[in-house]
Amino acid sequence: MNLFSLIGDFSVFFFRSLFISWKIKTTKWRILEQVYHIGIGSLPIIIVIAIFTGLVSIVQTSYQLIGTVPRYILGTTLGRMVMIELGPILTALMVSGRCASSMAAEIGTMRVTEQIDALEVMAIDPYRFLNLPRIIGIFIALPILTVISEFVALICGAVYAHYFLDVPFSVFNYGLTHYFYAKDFFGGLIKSLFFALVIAASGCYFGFKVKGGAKEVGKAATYAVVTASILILVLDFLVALVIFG
Amino acid sequence: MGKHMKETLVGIFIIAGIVVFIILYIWLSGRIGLRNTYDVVVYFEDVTGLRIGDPVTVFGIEKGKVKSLEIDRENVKTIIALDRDIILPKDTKIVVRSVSYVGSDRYVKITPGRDEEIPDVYYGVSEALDLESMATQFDSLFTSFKNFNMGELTEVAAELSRNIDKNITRLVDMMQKPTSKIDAVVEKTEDVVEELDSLIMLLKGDGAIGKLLTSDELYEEVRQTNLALKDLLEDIKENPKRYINIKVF
Repeated sequence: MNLFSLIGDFSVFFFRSLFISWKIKTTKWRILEQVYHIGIGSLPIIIVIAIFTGLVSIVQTSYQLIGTVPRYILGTTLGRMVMIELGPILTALMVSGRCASSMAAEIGTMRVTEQIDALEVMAIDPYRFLNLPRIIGIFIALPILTVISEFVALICGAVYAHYFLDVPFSVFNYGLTHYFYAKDFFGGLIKSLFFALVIAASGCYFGFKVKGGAKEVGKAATYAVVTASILILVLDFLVALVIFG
Repeated sequence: MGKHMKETLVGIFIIAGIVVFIILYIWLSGRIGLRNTYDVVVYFEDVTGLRIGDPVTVFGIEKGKVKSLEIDRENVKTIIALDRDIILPKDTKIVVRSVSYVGSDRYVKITPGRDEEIPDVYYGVSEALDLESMATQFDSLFTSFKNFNMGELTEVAAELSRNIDKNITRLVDMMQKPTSKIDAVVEKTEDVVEELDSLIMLLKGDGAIGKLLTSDELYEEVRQTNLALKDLLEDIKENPKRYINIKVF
């Protein structure tokens, strides 16, 4: 399968998974389970990542800027870095690493053990039964995780700046709020929605297309994560171009 | 874990996400303030560069923020959220100033007065933001520099340098040439000075001329002699026959 047919197949798979009868009444529980698995399951690691994102960013920013610009710029820089780029990207990469692989492995195992065939035999649409809850689940969970990640990163940055860099909360807060543009905040969240779609699509697609045995399931998990990560970066550029370009 | 428990946790997760979203947005947009403030209405004629959230300082200390800006007829009605411990009398000076000349950051500077009356509204002034005129001046300066013919300037400078070199050479030559003549003059002058010196020594010394010039006794004798000669001549004039006897035969 060449690149173009892969892109075409991937797109058809994605739209077929999303644009079908949702049957919310029967799918609701499965969506909820996915939100639980992706959202609450990823929350601890996302918080850890966010803490260190905030700390590393503030240390690096202060190293480069303190002494050359007013200290409140630390707040401005950290705020915009976290909102526009670091929050959405790192959260999405972490969730893709954790969830895209598990989706691909789970669906791939169902494929090789013919469970998906069994679903079709029982007249259950596997796209709606397996893919739709995952896509909607991650679509709900990822922006929430992104917001929490940004919040934690900013708090950690502010605390570090106050106690270790002699930048009081009021000064940091002034920089953070004075140059705040709603576009930055919402732009980051819009990014995370696109990232959610590609993570779910990659995980489900490579799981669905598995042929063979356990080895192929492992490969599918790897492909899912790699593809999701690449697509996240490509979409990051495209969305940035549209919103901030 | 039961289905009900999962539902509850997912509900908490989503609500927490929405709450964090709202808190974060309100925090970042500068609408959360821990200060106990009250609103002060100030009218300005012009608030170029001033934005909502800009700091308000009282005696140089940040004590509030610009809360809102709106046009009210021919003025700009500015609402300032000011700390409750700051009271502004009637003669308070309120000025919109720039943080620096290079940035566009503006702030409101308040200098409270001493009056006892506290008005409902205040009137402030805005310091002119001269960046545009400064930029224009810089622009014209740069244009002048651009228009200046640097090639011509270089040529003029080279010509000037050549002339200076030439003149310095000539000056050195002029100073070197008359040295021999000056030496001869100096030598002759020295001879003359030596001769004069010996003459003076002669005049001052014990010789006849020296004594003639310096001896009072000689002077007196000469004077007496002179007087005697004078008398003699007068007597000769009066009685020539006494002295002159001419006999032809």
